[in-house]
Amino acid sequence: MRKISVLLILFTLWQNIWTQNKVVIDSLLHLITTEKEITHTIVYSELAWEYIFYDIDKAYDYAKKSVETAEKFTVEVDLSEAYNTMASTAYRKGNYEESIEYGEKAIKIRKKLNDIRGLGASYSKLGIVYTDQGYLDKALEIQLKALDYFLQANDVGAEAQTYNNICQIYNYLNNFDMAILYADKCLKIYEEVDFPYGKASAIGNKGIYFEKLNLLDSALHYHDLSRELFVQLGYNVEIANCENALGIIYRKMGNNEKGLYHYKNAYDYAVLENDMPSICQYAANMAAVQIDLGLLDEAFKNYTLALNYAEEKDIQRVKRQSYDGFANYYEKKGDFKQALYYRKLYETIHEEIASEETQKAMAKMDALFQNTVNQQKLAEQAALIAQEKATAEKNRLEQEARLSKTRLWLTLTIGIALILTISLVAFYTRKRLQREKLFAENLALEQERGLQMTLAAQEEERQRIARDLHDGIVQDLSVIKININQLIDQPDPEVKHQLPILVEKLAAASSEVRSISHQMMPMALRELGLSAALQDALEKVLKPHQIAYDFDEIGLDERLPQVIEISLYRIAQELLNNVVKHSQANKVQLTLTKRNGFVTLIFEDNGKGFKQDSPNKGVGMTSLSSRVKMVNGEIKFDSEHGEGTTAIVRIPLHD
Amino acid sequence: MTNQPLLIYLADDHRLIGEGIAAMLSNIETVERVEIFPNGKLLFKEFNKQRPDLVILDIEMPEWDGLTTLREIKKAYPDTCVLMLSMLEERSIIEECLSLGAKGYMHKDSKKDEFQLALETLRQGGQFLSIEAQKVMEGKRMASTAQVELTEPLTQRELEILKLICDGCTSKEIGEQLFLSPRTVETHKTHLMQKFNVHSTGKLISLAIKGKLVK
Repeated sequence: MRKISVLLILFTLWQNIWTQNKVVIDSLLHLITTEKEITHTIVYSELAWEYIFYDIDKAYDYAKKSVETAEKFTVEVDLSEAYNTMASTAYRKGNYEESIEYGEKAIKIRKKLNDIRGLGASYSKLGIVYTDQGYLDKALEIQLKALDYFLQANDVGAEAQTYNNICQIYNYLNNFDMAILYADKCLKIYEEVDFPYGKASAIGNKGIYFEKLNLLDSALHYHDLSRELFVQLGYNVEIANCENALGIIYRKMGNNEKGLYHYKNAYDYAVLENDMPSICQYAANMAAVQIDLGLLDEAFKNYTLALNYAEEKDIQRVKRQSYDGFANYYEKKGDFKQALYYRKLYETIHEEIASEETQKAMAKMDALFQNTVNQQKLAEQAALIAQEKATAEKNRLEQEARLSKTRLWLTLTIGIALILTISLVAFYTRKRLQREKLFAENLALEQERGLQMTLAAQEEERQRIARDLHDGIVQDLSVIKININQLIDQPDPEVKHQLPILVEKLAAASSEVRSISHQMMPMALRELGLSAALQDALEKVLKPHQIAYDFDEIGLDERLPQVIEISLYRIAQELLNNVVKHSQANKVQLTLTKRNGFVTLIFEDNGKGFKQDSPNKGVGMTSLSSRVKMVNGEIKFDSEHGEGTTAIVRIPLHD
Repeated sequence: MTNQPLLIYLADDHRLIGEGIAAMLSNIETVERVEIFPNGKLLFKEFNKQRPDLVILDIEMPEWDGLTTLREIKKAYPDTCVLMLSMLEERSIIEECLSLGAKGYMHKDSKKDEFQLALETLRQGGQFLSIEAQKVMEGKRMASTAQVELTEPLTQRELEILKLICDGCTSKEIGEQLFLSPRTVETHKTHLMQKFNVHSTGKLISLAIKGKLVK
């Protein structure tokens, strides 16, 4: 969605491309002082337009002044102009309701004045506002009205622009076939009037819609074409955009080398224009491929560049992408501490962006819901779409008829072509299936990684909570207890009687909090290492249930890496919980060995065992295997030996 | 510890708790003065000026925590009497403190008479554990048997299987590697356990590695 917005905005901007012109502004300001007030409406309006892309607040103020002056003198043409300007500035400022209000006021006057072109422009603007708000059926209806006026006014440029707006609506409706149909209409006009910039943009948009339809070969074709046109025109920003789109598609196709090549081109063109936001976006894109290709140093360089700028300018998406990238980078480098640090940053910013997106999506859903209330409009809508489809169908039939005349001649050729096609189709189908399989595998991998990320974040959270509990509440409770104990020496018999009861309750609360803090992150695990912590855990969990236990360790004279210690501890905790809850065992043996570059934890109980092939693996089991995978290890269950369960966890140690 | 009135150094990063305990201790008649420090490092530095009769250490502190401070004190001034003060009830922590040379382990929210008893016990050269700590330390951790006494020598096949068991392979995996059915592997494993006189895979592995039957 971002990409299309970029292209469409560029496209909208083109007709208004000017640089902020100080001379123009000065002369306009001069007019205010010299000319009669009645002319000020138009001058203020012009000033608003001068500022609209540079300083929206100033533009809005001038638009307001324009409206005030116009309402004072009530010259209808001026009023409609002022209202129209106000609608535009309010839209740019994000005041959608105000924009609609003034847009409708302008329309009312222009109807009276029979200003056909003006009406088209006002409707078109109103349509864009409704599109932005998500009232898509209303937006479509209004754009079609605007189209009608532009056709009457014979303004082909505006007509093409309107087709473009309709494209965007269908894009939001996920109706890409219709979007392509309108893009073609737009394209046809620009070919007729020979407007290469518009042509290139429309072709680029087509590429985007084909990409959405997952017809990647066509998408490639159109983006390529669009790029060539922009190259001829020398518009570097747009070329960069096309190159980036090409990179994305090649990545989707699994061709990382070509993806990287096009991202690099995009980057180079952005550098030519010194377009920093794009440079950092493309750098981050390049880095992502480089990580996948194992070019870690280059990836690091590019992520650093991207992140520096994104942090300076607070570009959320690039920040998110870079944090994710750095986490991947450090994971590959084996620096899990740094990886965790960036993963955490990623999680935070991801949530921010996601919640923002959710809010936007909800607002849109709300708007869409309201649409459906109006059945009448819906019916009209259906009729409009049917009409469009009928036209398309008619065109196709005509083409079909033409083709049928020549068909006879072609029969022989087709026969040969058919054989070729079948083998080609078979070839591509196989390739496509391979690609889909790869895609599915990647998806599964990403889900797995998501779970691991959650686990890592959870671990950090636990440590934090444990610290907070211990440093905060536990200490507070102790202070209270000490203070109360000092009061016990007081002679008042009532106090003497009550206080010990309070002390007891306090002690219970304190013990509860301590035990929670311990479960979150045991001090022994932090300070003394895995063996000590495991022995404490065995004792704490099994003793109250009269389950006998034994612990053996071999070769663990030194501490293990922290992630491995925490992972093994949590795994043992989970297995211990299972024993107490389900196994009915009365004996547990836990063995920890370190030899030949592997740590192995063997957990045995003599309980009733479990069916390891049971289809619904519990949450506990899923998180067990994710934890093990997080440290590149494996977990296996061996239930064949008589009764009971044996879990074997094996983790490689690499220095 | 002397029979003179005591000079006590107390380290606790929570000011309120430190002051509370200090106030309580000051009320005990054998105590002359209590100095409070926000962490172990500052407490240790104070040794240069004057040696205390007793050191009381919180375990979880910034800078040097209780265990580090205990280690450093015992290294530089081995005859110092140290009492640990903590909320933690883990056997491994308590054992660690005692093995590092602490003379006592107490709960932070102990009452005045408990502190009094602790000071008295330490003064007489004894070791003091608060009731909570005693409960944790009840019963002993089983010392793992290290001796390997095989009832029968192992066969070549059993040795092969033993090695794979020690590598963390399941019976199924062992079977695949040695071209045996899992059931056959199970039988060998049962024999192995009988020969080692153990009842769990873990014990089998432990004895095999400790007895250097497997590298």
